[in-house]
Amino acid sequence: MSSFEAQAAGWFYTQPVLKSREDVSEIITALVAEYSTTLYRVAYSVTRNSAEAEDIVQETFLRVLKHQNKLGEIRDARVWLVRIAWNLALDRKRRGKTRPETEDIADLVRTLPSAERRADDEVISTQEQARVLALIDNLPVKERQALLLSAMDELSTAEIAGICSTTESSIRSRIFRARRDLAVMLEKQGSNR
Amino acid sequence: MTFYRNNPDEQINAALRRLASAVPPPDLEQRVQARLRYKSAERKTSGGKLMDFFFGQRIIFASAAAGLVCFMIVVGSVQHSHQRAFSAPAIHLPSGNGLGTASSTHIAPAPIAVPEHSRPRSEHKVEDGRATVSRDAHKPKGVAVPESTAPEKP
Repeated sequence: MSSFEAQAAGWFYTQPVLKSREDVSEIITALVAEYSTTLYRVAYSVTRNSAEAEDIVQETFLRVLKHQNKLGEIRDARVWLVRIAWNLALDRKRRGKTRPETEDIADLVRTLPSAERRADDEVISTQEQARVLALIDNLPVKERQALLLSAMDELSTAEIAGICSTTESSIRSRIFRARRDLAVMLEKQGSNR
Repeated sequence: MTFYRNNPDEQINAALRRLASAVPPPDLEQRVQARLRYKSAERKTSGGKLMDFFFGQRIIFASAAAGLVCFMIVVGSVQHSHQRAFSAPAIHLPSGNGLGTASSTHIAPAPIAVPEHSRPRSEHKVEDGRATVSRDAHKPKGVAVPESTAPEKP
């Protein structure tokens, strides 16, 4: 191969790994296996409804399939996927498409591992949990996003910053503000009762 | 445990922990994979391949479209300049496609005879007689100035 041919090959075949359809489908299969649980939790944290969360996970991977040509350009698949899922969940919530969430609070409690559930039951009841989540929904959008994403063990602060397109320090301050405001609201509600 | 129940921070942590540890349905992955396979097959059958081809070659198509637009602009401007070409009697522009250099313009070797009852190009008179070009005024080389049909007023 001459130097010109080599250069031309460099220009036109920048993603040789993703050239065949089989490769793309293998990558998407691997993404589903690795990230579907994380995406489900992210979607669930917004919609609080199991069926809605599953729909959003499916929709997220359909978007990946649609934009499969961009797969080679993605630096951090987790950040990219969570961002898609988050936006889809917000869109659904905004359009008021979400099903009632109250039924699923009990569902969620059932799905938690029993030991974990017992420990949390000692701190918070199902009704109190619903109350805290309702207060979280009253937080400003940016603070709410940072707080909910920070609850995911799978996501680091740097990744949350990537998802929110901001800096890590900004994320830390948003989480701090969210928790402070939430604590104030909880105390106010507690004193009113 | 009463301490924890009354502690807002602990309540927030517990609520978030519950939310973040939601367990997806056991066959979620299989369902997602099945839907992806179905969509993928659907794309293949409903002109997906054609769309993929056009999308994959988008740089080439974009370049070709840009080239075509440039060509049309050049052709359009050349045609426009043909329509608006200055036709001085003593200057012969080369006949062709309109593209040429300045040196290709030929000046007539001899003065051109002016047709009868025609006004010389270099002598203009306004109706009220305020602005006139004198016959002694400097004129470009090669431009013929025939006798004026009307006598020049001082």
